[in-house]
Amino acid sequence: MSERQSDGQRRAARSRVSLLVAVGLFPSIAVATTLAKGILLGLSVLVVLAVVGLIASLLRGVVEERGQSYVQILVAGLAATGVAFALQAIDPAASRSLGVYVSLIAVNALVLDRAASYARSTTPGRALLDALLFGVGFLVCISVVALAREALGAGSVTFFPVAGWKGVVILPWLSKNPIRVAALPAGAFLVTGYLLALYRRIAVTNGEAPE
Amino acid sequence: MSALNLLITFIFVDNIALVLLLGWWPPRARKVSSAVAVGAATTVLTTLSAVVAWVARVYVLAPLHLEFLQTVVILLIVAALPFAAHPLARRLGGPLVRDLRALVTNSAVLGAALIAFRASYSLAESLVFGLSAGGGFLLVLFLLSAVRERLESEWIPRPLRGVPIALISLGLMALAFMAFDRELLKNLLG
Repeated sequence: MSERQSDGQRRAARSRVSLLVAVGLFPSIAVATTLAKGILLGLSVLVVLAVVGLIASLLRGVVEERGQSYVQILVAGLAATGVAFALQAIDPAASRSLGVYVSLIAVNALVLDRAASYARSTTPGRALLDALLFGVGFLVCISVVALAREALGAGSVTFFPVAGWKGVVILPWLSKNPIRVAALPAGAFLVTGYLLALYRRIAVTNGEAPE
Repeated sequence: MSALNLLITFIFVDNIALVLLLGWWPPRARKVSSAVAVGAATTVLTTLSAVVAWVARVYVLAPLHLEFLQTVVILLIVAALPFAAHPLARRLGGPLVRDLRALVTNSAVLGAALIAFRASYSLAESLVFGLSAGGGFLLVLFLLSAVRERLESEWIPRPLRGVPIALISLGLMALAFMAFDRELLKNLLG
């Protein structure tokens, strides 16, 4: 009985995590129209998650309960500003194309939830590990959505340019018959919705999520 | 940009929820009545944050050449808004008091402030922009909650239930809103 309960709890926790990551995709997903942009946004969220998680954990007991959320928002704002500067220095064109969305990582649901629900009640090591795991999960999710949107909407896949290679792979059939809506803001909702449903279908079939 | 132009642009053409994808997910917006309350509170906050962005740009950041700190400064001021708005929220209703702090971290609020800051709007423009951005969000939230209420009585395949069907509904709504484009605006307003 207890095994069943713990199995059920584990499934519910997995379902909550997948939902949290899906919710965290917004609003970043608006500009994730190519795989390269998706990876950049994913890495940016990973860095902000790690910084906020680590500092929230280090400040536990130092800052009183009521002020903790305010401090977390401030730290998230500083971390997002730092990431925006780093991106501007490394790749100004990519930074321009991502616009305000890098700064908006400061209020990303995933960043604030992990800091509030886990990091501020655990050790810095555990908080950092949690942030890295969630960050990698987010990176994978946003990359998959960005890849689907670009492949369907433009018929291409954009990686990062290396040496003489521009980093763009043209997909044979889709490039001539793209489903343009996938690259539009409406496509962000539609692609994410259908991918989430597909994930749930697979998870339920494998017995990894509650029905 | 004229006030009417701003109003139509940010409610219909560049809707912050459907085109800029800001503001998802508000905490309590499953029913039409709560969606209207959350949307109205968000409109107040987007208006305040756009005005705050103007004050921060004109009186603090531009004179000190500290524009690069826009995110941190705006976020700090916006995060303090719930304390100022607390008495008003108490008058409007109980659930709003709990949701107010969550609403401040809604990306629509910071997003509106950052857009107003970067577009260098005047005070009047910031005010109208904040109102129209919030109004656009309220409109979408109202439509979405009406769709969700309707969906409760319909059969939906299991994997699509909940968030996936809400996202697909939003996608279809965004497609419908694409009928409002800049050309239409140009023809309407000259």
